[in-house]
Amino acid sequence: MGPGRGVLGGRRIAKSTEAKGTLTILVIRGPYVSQAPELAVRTAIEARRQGYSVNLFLYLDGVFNAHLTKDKDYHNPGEWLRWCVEKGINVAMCSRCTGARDLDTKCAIPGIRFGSVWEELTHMIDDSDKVLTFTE
Amino acid sequence: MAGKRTDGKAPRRVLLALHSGTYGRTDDVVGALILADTLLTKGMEVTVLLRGDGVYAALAGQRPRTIGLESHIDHLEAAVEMGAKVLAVCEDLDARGLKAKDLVPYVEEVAEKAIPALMADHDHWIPI
Amino acid sequence: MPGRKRTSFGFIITSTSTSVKDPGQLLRAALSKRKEGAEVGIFLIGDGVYLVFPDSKKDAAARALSEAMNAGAKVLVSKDHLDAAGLAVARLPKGALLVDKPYKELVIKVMEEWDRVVVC
Repeated sequence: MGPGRGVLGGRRIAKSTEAKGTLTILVIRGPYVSQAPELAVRTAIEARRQGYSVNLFLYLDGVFNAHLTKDKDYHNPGEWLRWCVEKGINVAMCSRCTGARDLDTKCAIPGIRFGSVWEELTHMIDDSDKVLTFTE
Repeated sequence: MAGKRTDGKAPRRVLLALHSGTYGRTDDVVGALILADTLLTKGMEVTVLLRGDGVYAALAGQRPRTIGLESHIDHLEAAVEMGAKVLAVCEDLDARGLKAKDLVPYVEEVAEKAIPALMADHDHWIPI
Repeated sequence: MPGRKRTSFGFIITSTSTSVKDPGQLLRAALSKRKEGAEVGIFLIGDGVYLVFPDSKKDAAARALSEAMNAGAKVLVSKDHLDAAGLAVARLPKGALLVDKPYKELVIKVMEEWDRVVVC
């Protein structure tokens, strides 16, 4: 969803930064073992489409989703995350969880930020109207 | 409370609902309690609700070093010291044959019927 | 208090009745809120759709869902997930709403209608 332009009182204004509200979604399960990544991503993409500012934070095993960079001919959480990044969803993954799993951040999906619970997630939670956590 | 907000806004009230509390699910438990500590440090109000198997996280006398793991109690205590409230659902304790005396002393029992009010009183409900 | 908007509650159920996450407990919370007069919505999506299967006489979560519905909670069910599970629409509890575009509806509920949301 790119910048849009609206009209206010006859003047054209840029309203790309004027989100209706903010949704943060936490993903704590890895790919394939759980439907949580799919539920999270599809909700995130729809929320973005409806004009909300959306954060997606990959925590605990959720960080594994960020390392699915290859194309597959079956359902692929990595591909969904790439769509999220393309749609302007703020996607970040936990640095501690990534390190604990010996994942190389250089091999993660481009555009997914490497963050921390301290720096990223707490701000997301504090600044959001709603927070959803998909755990199953 | 550490890290009180200075921007004039009311602090966010976050409830972390743990449904895992055993050493077989330690990543979930430690992950949740680390999040609790961090939210508290940032000035938010945090309640940790132990429900279902989550009540096992509050068992007194845990010795996880025997299997090479970090203690859940250490993390729970750290959160309490920073201002978290820790609640355990009594029906879930009862279903598991546990009583208040089996738990660490700073855990407060709540009836299941208190859950609706807890939902209303917190801005965000985060299940782990 | 006259004119004061009541808090509305949303329950997004993504697990089966026998899940360790115990959706039955939260559905009882939904029932309780509904009995207090609050607006309550229950959204069955993902594995949550399997909750339409069990006999409410034998399954605590199914019973809580049924009682919440009878008390006036609005129940929405993702058609996609119901179809995927091979569950016949005919088994849907009477009064439950089948949703064609579940994510669209879910976002509207979460961001515009429900004041408090729980995912289980």
